[in-house]
Amino acid sequence: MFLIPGPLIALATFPGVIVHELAHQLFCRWFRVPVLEVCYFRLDNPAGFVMHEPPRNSYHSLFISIGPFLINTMLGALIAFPAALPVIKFGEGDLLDYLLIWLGVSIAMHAIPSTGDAKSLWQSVKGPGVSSGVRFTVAPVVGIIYLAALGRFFWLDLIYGIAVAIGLPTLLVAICSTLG
Amino acid sequence: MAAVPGQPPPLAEVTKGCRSCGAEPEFAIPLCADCRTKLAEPPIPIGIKLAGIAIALLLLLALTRIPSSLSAAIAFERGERSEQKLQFAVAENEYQKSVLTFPRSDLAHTRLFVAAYRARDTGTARHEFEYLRGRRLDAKLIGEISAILGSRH
Repeated sequence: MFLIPGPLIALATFPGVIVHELAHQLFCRWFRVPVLEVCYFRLDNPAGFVMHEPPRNSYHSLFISIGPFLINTMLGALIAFPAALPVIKFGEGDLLDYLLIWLGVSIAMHAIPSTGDAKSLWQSVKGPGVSSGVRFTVAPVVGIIYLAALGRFFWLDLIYGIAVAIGLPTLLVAICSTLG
Repeated sequence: MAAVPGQPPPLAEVTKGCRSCGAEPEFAIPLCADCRTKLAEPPIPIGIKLAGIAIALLLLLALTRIPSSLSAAIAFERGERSEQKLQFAVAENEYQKSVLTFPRSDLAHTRLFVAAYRARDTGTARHEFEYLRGRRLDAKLIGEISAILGSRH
């Protein structure tokens, strides 16, 4: 397995780390959850973090944990979309296209929540007073996050980033071209 | 244990619940309403704001380019499909749209040349051939053009 130190990957894709932490913070703000400490980027493990009060509502906890998955995926896809087509489909890319693709892949590859996110999400539902319905909703999400975290060892985050930034536009073009 | 004046009370004392009714505390961390509001909306450092603005501008730029890129790529895909069905005039029309958006794409020009040649649109085929003649094409495209010209009667 080709191993590159985590901090180097984080440095090469730092916009994704910043957007990931901003997404956590944004969801905390929406749900009025106090934030105790934020680190948007550092050359350490983890590369960034948001420490916040455990939310009272389990769904708030869910959305704070998976917020980066939603925001980073959407942002990465939208930024890379118009650049991926000329580069991949037409072999005609300029510097701006490559910049947008790097930015899109960087942001999308940091969409996958960390094990820390999974842990705090599980903490929020494992205590008393949480309905089993909520636990049934959250448990698979926590499981998927742990699996995805394991997949990082096999470059799943980069594969996901490329799939979102480059695969999605190609797929959309293939679907749209058959319509109409 | 009483709280020290001017300092927040110890966490354990606050979180063990209401003394009179025993109700669970509302929040996990003891904070007054003002501090709670302030911490829910922490200020974002200027550097992060600038990075956010840069990303927002690039997103805006990307959004303005999506419609043209998407329609050119769809046209190209439809052109390829029409070519496979031997509908060369339709394919030529679709490739024209791609070339209009991506005028430096050798691939789009080559496909347009091939479709125009097979659709017997000599004017467009000649124009595209003149363009391609000065370009450094990859072996696959050269092979396709050579095959067409080689089969000329």
